[in-house]
This record gives sequence, C-alpha cells and structure tokens, in this order.
Amino acid sequence: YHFYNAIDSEGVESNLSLIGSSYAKGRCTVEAELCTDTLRLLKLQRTLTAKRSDEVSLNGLSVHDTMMELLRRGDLKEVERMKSDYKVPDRRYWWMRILIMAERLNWLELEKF
Amino acid sequence: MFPYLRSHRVNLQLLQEKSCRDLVQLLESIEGTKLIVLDDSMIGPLGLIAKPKIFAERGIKLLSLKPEQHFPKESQNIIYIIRPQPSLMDHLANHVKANTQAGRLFHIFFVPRRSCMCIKKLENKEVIGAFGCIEELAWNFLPLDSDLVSMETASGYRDVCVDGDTTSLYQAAIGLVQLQRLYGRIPKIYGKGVQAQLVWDHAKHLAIDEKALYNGDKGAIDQLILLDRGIDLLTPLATQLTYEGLIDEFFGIRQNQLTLPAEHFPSYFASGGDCTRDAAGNGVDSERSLLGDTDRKTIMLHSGEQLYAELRNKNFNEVRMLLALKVKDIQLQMNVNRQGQSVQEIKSFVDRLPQLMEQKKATSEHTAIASLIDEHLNVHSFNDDLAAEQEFMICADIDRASAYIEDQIACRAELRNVLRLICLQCAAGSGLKERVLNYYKRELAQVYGVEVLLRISNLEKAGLLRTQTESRAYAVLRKTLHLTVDDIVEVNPHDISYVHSFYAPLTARLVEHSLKPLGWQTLKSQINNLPGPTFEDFQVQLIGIGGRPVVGATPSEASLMHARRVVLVMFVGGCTFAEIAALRFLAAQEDNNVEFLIATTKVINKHTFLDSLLSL
Repeated sequence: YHFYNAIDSEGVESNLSLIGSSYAKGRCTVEAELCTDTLRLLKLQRTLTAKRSDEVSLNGLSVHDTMMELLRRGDLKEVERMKSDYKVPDRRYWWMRILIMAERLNWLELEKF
Repeated sequence: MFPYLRSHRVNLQLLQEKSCRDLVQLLESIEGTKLIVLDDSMIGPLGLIAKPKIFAERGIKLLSLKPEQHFPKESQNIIYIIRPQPSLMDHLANHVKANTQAGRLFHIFFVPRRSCMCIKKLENKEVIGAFGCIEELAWNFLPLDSDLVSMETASGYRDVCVDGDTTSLYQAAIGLVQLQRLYGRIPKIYGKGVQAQLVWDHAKHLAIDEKALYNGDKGAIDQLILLDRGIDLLTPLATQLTYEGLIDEFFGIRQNQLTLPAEHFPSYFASGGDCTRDAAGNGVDSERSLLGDTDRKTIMLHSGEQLYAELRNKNFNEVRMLLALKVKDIQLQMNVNRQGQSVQEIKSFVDRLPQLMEQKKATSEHTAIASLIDEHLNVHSFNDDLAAEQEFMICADIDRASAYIEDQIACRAELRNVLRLICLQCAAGSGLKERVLNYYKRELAQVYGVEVLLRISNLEKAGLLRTQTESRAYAVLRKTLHLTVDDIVEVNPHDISYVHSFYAPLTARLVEHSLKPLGWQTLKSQINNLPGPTFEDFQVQLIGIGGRPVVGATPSEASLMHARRVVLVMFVGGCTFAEIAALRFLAAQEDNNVEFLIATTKVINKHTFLDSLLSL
C-alpha cells in the first residue's frame, strides 16, 4: 500500500476518501477508518466554524485539538457528542478536561474530582 | 598526523593516511590555483581525514556549498567535494552558469563514488562540458577513533528498510574489501541478519578477483562479526546512560565534535584562547575557518584526550564521582604547602605545572559539560521516560496499552518521544498485540492528526512497529543471555549492562558470547528466532599450484592463539555510543584477551535514529 502515501502527503480533503478506500484495499482497516473519521471531522469543523464566525477557525485541527478548542469555549455538549462519535477513551477525555480547567485557573471545579 | 588513531594492533592511521594521499594526489593532478567547495555533509568527514594545513600549504581555499555563490576571479579551478546526491547538482549547474569565465575549469570529486544519476543530471542541464575531471574519492570508512570507523551515512538503515535503496550496503562491502586490502585477509566471519548477509555476499563477490587477498598471510584482523541493526531495535531506542552517550543525545556529537554555546565556558574566554588548543583538539579544522562562529565553542572528543578517554565510557553516575575526585586531586597538587620544600622539589613542581594546567583545563571543561547534562537529567520528564523504558525492558505489562504512553499522548507530548516509547514497547514484546497497535494508531491520529499515519507506516516498514508473532524473541533472550541483570552496579561495573543501568545491549552480548570457545555454535540455536539468517564463513589461504599444502596449525599459528585476538565488529545500520562503550569494556577485561575494531554506518542515538526513519 505504498503508493497511497504519495497522495496522502498532499493532505487535501477531496483526496481523503480516495486514500481511505486504497487503505481498505490494502487491508488496513484502522487506517481506512481513520480517514473516514477525518473526513467527517472536517465537515463538522466547517459547520461549527460557520455557526460562530467570530472565533478561531477549527479547520484542519486534529480530533484532540478540536475538542480542546471546544472545551475552551465551554461547548461541553458538542464535546460529549464528539467523544462518543470518535470513540475517545475516558482517560484522555478527563485529561483534556483537567488540562483545560487548569488553563483557566478553574481550581474550584478541579477540586470536585 | 592524528595521534589519537594510533593503536598497537590495527593501526587506523594507515587508513587515514591512505585516504589523505588519495585526496592529495587528485589535487595535484590539477594545475593552477584551486578553490574547494564542500557540501555541508562533507565538512566534518574532511576534517577527519586531512588537516587544514594541507590546504594552506597549497594555497587552497575552502568554501561551503550554497545555492548562490560567486567565486573570486583569481581561482582557475573550482573543485567540488560532495556526496553523490542529485539534488546538489542543481546548485552546481547554477554555479557554472553564474561563474563561467575564460580559463576556468570545474571539477567534481564524488565521495565515495560517482553516480550516473548525478552526471546525467549535469548533462541534462547542459553544463557537463564545463567540468574538467570527475573523479571519486573512495572514502568508505572514515576513522573516528583508534578503534572506530564509520561511514557517516546517517540514513543507512532507513535507505534499506524504508526506501529499498541498498547503496549503503554496497558501500559497506567495498569498505570491507578496502580494510582487508590494508590490513590483510580476515579468516573468520560470523554474521546475523539479512542486511549483514547482503554486505558479506557483496564483499565476497568483490574480493574474488583479488588473489592477493587470499595468498597473503592472515592479516591483522582475526575475525569479523557482522551484525544487523534489524536484530536489535531496542538498543538504539533506549536512553544511553554513559557519559558519551548522554552528550550525544542531548547535544549531538558530529564527527568527534561537540558544539556548545560558549557562555557555559567562562574560564575558556578568560584565558583568551580562541581556537588553538592543540593538546586536546588537534583538529582546528576547516569548519571553523569556514564559518567562524565566536559564540559557539567546539570541543574535540576522542580518546587522544586523556581525561575524556577515561570518562567517556563510564556510567554517568560514576562520572560525577570521578570528576569530583579529579578536582580534589588537582587542588591538592596545586596547594601543597611550599614553604618547607627544597629547591629541587619546587623545581620538579614547576616542571609539572604546564601538565597540571592542562589537566585543570580539561577537568573544568568536562565539569561544565557534566553540569549541563545534570540539568537535563533533573527534569522530571526524563526520569519518567526512563522509568517507563525500564519497565518495558523487564517485560512488565507489555501486552496492554501503557498508561504512561496514554498520558503522554493526552498531554500532546513530543511526537518523536511518544513514538519512541511505543516502538520500545513493541521491541520488548517482539511485536504488539494487534488490538494495542490499532489503539495506539487511533490515539495518535486523533491527537496529532492523520498525517501521523505516514510516519507510522515508515516505522512499520522498518520493522519497528509490528504485530506480534508467536515467538517472543526478546523475552526468551532476556533470560538466556541475561540481557537484564538484577543487581545494578553502575560504579566499577563488572558487566556490560552498566551502559543502560541494568540492560545489556543485545548486540554487545552476542559479541561477548561469541568470544567463548564454541560460542558462536551455541549462540546459533539461541538466536534462531531473531529475524534474518545466521551465517558463518571462512576465508582460507588458497593453495597455489605446486605449492606445499598448508598445515592448519603450524607452531607459529598455535602461539598466536595466545596473543590478543583482534575482532572487527561491524554494525550494519548504525550503532550507539553505549554499544561501543560495552565493547570497549569487554576488551578491557583481562580474561577475554581480545581487541575490538568497530565499524558502523553511523554512530546513532535514539533521536537521530528515529528522525532518520520518520522523515517523509
């Protein structure tokens, strides 16, 4: 499955489905799944950015960074949904929560843990 | 010329002198004033071969290669000394176009050999006519120290495993033949691994025509052990704990040179010394004259310097102690109460003074370096990483996703380090469970973005990441070869495991075992489940026509059995300073009665090794 690498490095959104299907052909299910995930993510990011045009653009961020950014905005509902959508493990989810709280000096809430 | 290369059995100075002669010959075949242009990756190696004096005597100027360059009018010949990389040819073509004038000629010396691709590229650019002679300098192995030669090709392992380019193997084979030409036939060859096998096959093939190699007596080297990096991927990823290894990991040693910000060496500035420190570094080399950096200090590191030779291979914990001792010792000698002394005593003291000052300077230098390392060691993350590493080495919990790695990913720690830990876990478990591997992939892609998959696929091709097969080579070998020991002795060690605190590099352990009588035979069955073939070969003296048959064990040969054996250990794909330290430690043991010569494609450490694999 070496030749997909060449395509992938361009990293354009339109290519992602192509790459995903080539990965699937090469029997790399995880990679294929991740490609479709990314595709979904990019769409989500666009709608989210469109909803609030005033804030930092989410486009092109990774799942983790997107969730961090959303947490920073306090959009907990969206984050929870992403968590289940992208199968983010609990451990990392709580790490994110803690990091963001610490960032905002939200010590009171940290104590609740 | 380079005193530190001298040793009693295999004199690497021969190699250096030969390389230097080649260069001088080529230079003298060109008439007129000369200007040498060096590609960046050649500056260091050139310094290992030739002193700047050679060029100064001949009025040759050195420049480093840049895309845009204008040459002074008076130089008639422009000589490029470069690696055969097609991308460099573009620069050359530009130079030629920008700098053509009557009576000027361009020359290229390719190191270590010319490539058709480069020449073709010049032809396509229609500048080939401007080049007078295109030669090659066969510098396959560059002498780094009295027992160490290196090809200085950083991407050796990557080229073969990821890109499928076996040039470096071929070069290693030519290098081997060259070594045999200089030092004589090597009678016994042992090897392990696919790449090692390839190198040896090439070398044998190349040497077939050279009857002289076979007819002569046995050379200075008794035995060759070829080891493939692919059989031991744990060692290059682990943190080295020897002094030299740590210096290399934190600051990087390039061709024996360590460059540090000068601010850490106040005494050095105070003494007004700029770059003429002949005692410790006899390589005031081209780099400095080329790119005169004043706020960086370059230190030469090799066994020519007494103190460094003593410290380099020690575990860092021992180094601290030794340095403290040294300081005390010097203080004592300096501050002897001189009132009650006779004139004679004072005279002898004064005679010793320069030597003492020298010692003092060296000690202060190394204390400075050691304190810099200390700073790095005291960072929490270093110790946490090390702890995680060591857990893997003793095969604790290698079947599950490690909590430490999970945390690192969640904190968005440096990708390189995270991947390193995952690869370590993989190497220790001889593969990861498929579920775990997929879990890691998912996590990495989610945190660092999908692009990370490309890097992972590089690692998979190189065999650093893979799913588990039935055999558990590492777990088994850990027991049979005692790769990890229980009692940790870092100071005055009696086992090679001190280089990683308690883990003995597999490669060094293999060498150690092969030294025993019938060692290789017993090893053969034990290392069966490591990847790649195990092979051995003998190069016997050919019996000439009508010549007397050679009796196997003549008395002289029997007496040779008691002399120290010289073993050439060749690492195909690079080796670490920790492995070198381990081998030197073995050689220092009395009962082994052996001397090592180490050949490698490049001295690597955990960072450089991974970087070369990760780059896209």
